[in-house]
Amino acid sequence: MKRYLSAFVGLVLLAAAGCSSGQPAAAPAGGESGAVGEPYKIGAILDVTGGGSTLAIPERNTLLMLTERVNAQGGITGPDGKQHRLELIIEDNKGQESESVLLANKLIRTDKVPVLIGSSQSGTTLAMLQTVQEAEIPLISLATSVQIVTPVAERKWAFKTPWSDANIVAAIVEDMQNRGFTKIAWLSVNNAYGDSARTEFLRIAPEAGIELVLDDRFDVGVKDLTPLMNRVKASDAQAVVIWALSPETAVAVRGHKALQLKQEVYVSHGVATPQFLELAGSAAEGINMAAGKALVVDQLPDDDPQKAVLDDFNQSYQATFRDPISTLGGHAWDAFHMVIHAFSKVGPDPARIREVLENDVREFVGVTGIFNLSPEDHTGLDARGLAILRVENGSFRLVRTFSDP
Amino acid sequence: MWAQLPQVLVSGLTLGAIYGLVALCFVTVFTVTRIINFAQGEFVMLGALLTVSLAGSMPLPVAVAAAILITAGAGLFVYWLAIRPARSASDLTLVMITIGISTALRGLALMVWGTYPSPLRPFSQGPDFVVGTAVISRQALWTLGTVAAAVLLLHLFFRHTRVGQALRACAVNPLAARLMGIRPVLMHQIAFALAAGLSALGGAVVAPLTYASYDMGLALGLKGFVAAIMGGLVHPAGAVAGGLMLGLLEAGAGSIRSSLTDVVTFVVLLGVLLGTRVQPLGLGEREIDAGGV
Repeated sequence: MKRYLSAFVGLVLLAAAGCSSGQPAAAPAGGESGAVGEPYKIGAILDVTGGGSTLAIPERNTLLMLTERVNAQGGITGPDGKQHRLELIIEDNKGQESESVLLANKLIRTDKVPVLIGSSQSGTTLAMLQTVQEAEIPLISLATSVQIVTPVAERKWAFKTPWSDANIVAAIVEDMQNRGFTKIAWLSVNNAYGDSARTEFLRIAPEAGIELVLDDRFDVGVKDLTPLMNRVKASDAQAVVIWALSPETAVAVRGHKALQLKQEVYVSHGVATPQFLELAGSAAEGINMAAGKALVVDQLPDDDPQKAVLDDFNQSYQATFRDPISTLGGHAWDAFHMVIHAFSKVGPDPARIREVLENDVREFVGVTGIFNLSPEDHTGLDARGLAILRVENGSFRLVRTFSDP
Repeated sequence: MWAQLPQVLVSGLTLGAIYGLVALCFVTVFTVTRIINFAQGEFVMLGALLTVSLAGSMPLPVAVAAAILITAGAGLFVYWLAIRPARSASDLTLVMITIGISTALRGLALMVWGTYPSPLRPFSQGPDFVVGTAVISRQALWTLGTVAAAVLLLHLFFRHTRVGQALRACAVNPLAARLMGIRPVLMHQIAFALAAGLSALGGAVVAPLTYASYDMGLALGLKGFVAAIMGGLVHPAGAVAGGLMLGLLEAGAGSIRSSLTDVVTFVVLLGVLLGTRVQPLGLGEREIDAGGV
């Protein structure tokens, strides 16, 4: 009996340990015409568990959905004229920098992927940069920090699809200027995501006539921010910026509402997801953000250049997952399409994939925006994909888009 | 700064009450079984997540009661699966086993409930109470009230019921208790189930405030442990007081700089361990109780 018990315990512990290991997305067999070549591999490292899970789940779903879609059609036609299935290998870095490096090495050396997508957060992406630079494998990140792609000379192999926090912060500052806010409280999360945005904000706020009356940071996983909100109350801030992901932002806005504070609240684009509204509940009412248009597809005019792509994304995602789309899945959509574009041109050759990304992604209409990648700009976005959104009556409302590049 | 003091008090006491409850569970299990159950925080997590899942299909009080019962059952299951078979192992091995249980429970919760934090609606709807510069949410009052009631009931249980007195006897002198006809294995099971159920109650009542997620147990368990240490791991009143103090210190530190809250916890832990002559593993006493685990 004792032996069976120990074995059972061992099994349970193993299951718990093993539950976060990689899941290859198998491609089901289907009819195909023409010769069939070797599958093209795509490696993806996402922060599925840990602090970045609210980002990674829509990203993972989008990648799985698109891979199945492509494989159901027989795969991509490579430069050799053969059909190549896609083999997507998704790994979970548990939101940790050290895991990211280990997994990047594993995917590059063991699985021999020619291209990597990931990871979901700025910190875990930055940790991998040295690895991908040395291995000379292109990486398309789904994270925000401008440090992922600059300085350009040292980021030859790193690309990203979300806007830089520089763009978002600039859009927020512009909105603040338009509304006459001059005294701001800045609260950000204590990691690369928060710090990168904070640096940007501190850089451009003085030129815009904005004074920082409060500047503080809080930790990932914090459960109660009413003490911090008390300090906001005691300051003479007219608006508060809360820069974090969904769990922490929800705690912050609830604290803000609990103290019945009156400042306008701006949040980051990392919470541009319907799940954030579920978490924050009525406390999310009236908050502002600069984010993509994916959340307000139905409110876009028909002549918006991204409308067709957004509709496609919206319908296919909802059909597969029965969940509304978010901008986060959109970043994965864009990365995926860039990768298969490169595959169809040059096949699984890392150096040539990199060249395609730098030189052949022009006016690419994606979910995040319209991309114009170049050797100097590995994100390639202008303000065209951005919109100012506001939460009203429990859903996102489009306030305005930025129409010129 | 002083204007914030009422709010610091409210926030600190609310979370401190939960730390105190978890600390009480640590003390209950330790005094009866001489085991520090580092998986205690995961029972809080189970209580919170189970309540969230069940609240969709039954009235909230029933959901909470069911979550408590299921978690108490989980406590028993854990005891039979992993603690009892290792009864002749050293204290250190048992501690490692409970850490392993904690990881396993977290992994299972991750598989069942996923990574997103889940909100739970407050037990009673209505506006918050404003007292001076402090805002007290109704759920904070529920938390304080529930923990106070739990502490009181536990006190009465230990003092005035046969089972409670038997548990205390087992804690004071297991050999003598056994000679009196009290079965140690039964007492250990009761202690585990009781602690698990109480933790679950704490989880259910705090979920509307802090969300329920698969990883909420780690921090809560750690802070409950620190609070229990403040009470020497054997005094229930000290444990609860320790929890409240820890909560207040955290809230106070947080009002100066948010990143100080976790620092405070560890500074307190170090201070208590170095400053007192507490022997948490009760090493020395194991030789006497031949009728131990």
